[in-house]
Amino acid sequence: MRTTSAGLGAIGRGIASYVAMVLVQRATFLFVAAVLAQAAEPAAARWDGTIQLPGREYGLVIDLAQNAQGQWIGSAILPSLGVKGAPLSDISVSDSAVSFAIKGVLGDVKVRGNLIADGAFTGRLEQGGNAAPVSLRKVGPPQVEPPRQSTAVAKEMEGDWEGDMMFIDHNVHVRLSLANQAEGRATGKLFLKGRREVNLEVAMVTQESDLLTLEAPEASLIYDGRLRGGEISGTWQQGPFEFALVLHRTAKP
Amino acid sequence: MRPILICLTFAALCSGQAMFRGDAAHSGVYADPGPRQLRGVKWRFATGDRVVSSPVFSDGVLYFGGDDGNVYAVDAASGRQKWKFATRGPVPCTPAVAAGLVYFGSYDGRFYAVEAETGHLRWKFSTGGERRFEAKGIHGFLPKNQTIPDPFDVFLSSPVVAVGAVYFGSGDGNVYALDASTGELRWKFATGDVVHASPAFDVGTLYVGSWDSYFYAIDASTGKQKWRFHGGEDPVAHNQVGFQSSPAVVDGVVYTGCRDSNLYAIDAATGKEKWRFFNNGSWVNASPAVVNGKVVFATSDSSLFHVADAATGKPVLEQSTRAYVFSSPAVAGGVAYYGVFNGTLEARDVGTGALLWEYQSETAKKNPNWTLTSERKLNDALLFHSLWREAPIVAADLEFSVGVLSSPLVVNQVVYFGSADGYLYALE
Repeated sequence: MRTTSAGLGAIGRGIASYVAMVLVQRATFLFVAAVLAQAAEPAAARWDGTIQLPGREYGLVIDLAQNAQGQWIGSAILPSLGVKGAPLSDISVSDSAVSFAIKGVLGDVKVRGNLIADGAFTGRLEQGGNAAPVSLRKVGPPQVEPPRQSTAVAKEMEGDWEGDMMFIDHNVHVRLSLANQAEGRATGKLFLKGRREVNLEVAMVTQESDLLTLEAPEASLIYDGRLRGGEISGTWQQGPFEFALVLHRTAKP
Repeated sequence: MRPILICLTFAALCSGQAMFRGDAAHSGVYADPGPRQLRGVKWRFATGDRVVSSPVFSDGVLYFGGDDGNVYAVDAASGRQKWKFATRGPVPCTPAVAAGLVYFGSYDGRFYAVEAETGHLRWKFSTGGERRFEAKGIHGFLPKNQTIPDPFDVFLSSPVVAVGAVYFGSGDGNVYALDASTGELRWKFATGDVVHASPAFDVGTLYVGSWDSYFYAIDASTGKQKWRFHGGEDPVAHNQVGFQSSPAVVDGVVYTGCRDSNLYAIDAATGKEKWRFFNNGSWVNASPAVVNGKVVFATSDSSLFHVADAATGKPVLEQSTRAYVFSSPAVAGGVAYYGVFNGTLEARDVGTGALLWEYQSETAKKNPNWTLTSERKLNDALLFHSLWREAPIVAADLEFSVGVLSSPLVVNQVVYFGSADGYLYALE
């Protein structure tokens, strides 16, 4: 089973406009990153240290910076807990007091504490109703990892699609709706009809050249397929299972 | 005119190629010298989990896998991330880079080719799925009638790229050959068990060992077996069996470690054993390096760094490493660089065996869970206090928590390696 990149051929202009849109998004990001590098706020830095759980220590790396609008942004790395570049939310920096959350990672995690002398931060981390001391040191400029976001999709990808797949031992009919939104990102909705009916919001829609990827973590689902000859041909991966799925344009009612 | 053309073509083919052990034959020898003295940490790059993969270098960028499921492209000069590509499982293998593509496998059972510049997926291929070597009562773990995964099966097979194909082994027991540009299956070769060693390529032949106790020579164009060599077996504890080490092929001889305690030298043309170096019950899981008529290798339980004569297998020197070595020595400028389970990277003179310098990570210095004794040996008496049920699996995981299992890469006086503490290090 494989997915290959063939020539773009007929996809043509839609892909070109999509690529242009992505380039603009990336240029914007680079500009923001340049601003971040110059951030002078004491909290704006890469912070490296530890979380002291009873009987165990975990590493913690926090990147904090302000974007061009002066808003705080950040990301977290937990080197022994499988977390790399998780976005920070609810960031508050007020004088020496700093707090933020890491949502959707290890349950929800909250960190609050204070900047102290010599580029140090001490505070506490809360998870699952427990709390543990955190100590971090400033080790360099911030390297905030931008959160992954949906991209726009080419015109040829927009609209309604459907197809059938054998899901282990029974047929599942899949309907997909893709739409570009005003902010230049696509959204997707899935409707599955097999032994039961399921509606799923696609959390992440991305297109790289002719490859479409849909991610719905709540269902442990990733679909990726390539647009060729008016069809999206790809692989539906759900948990340990993998099935071929070809999507066609939905027949007009 | 023709030789010049051939040389130019060959150079073009090799340009930008990078893979496990430095070349397709896995000599483990690097052209650039490394530091004979340690100045310090140039940078370190944080990931979300242990880094067992070894970095490779192409056009100023390092590529490596993480057990956090990502493959990373990191600027070698600054240590800044260029991109990351998410798979759905740990990536404890070393990527290969050729013709602008980065190739690697993941525990998610898929093999990927992504663009080196952007990290965008070019193609992916599904194998029969990954798994660890497993056996009933393995290593004496209890209960003896329970099938238990081998916690020391820590690597995935690292791909090798040659003659337009990418080759790798899989936990499904197969060795695969895929078209490097399209991912199309060219052939697969079935062995009897897990293949997590990395195939070496030399003169149209692939060389790789399996956990089925055999070492294979396979015609790279057809996938047909040329010969196979039988290593040791261990039907009771399943401890002294299997090829976890990847081979090096130099001057018509295949050198490979084996879990049956031997380092073997095998005639590449015939599969006949030339000599064996017995290590008294200690695994040889690291891959040997071959340089100037010497074989450089290291062992696990006996925790020794060895240099042997490549022609005869006679020992030249040995030095204690204090803890297991799974990291394959990289030789550059007469110095061997390798990682140790105690969280140390060692640099030794290949000629004298003298320790030139060592670096122990801050994580290892803290000695979490008393993983190490005060002599920096593994604290097995404490960690493996029970062999029942999950206890030894947990113990092995703790042993890995600080270790350097990654094989170092030497470029421009800098040594790059991954560590189980979750960081990629650059030492200069």
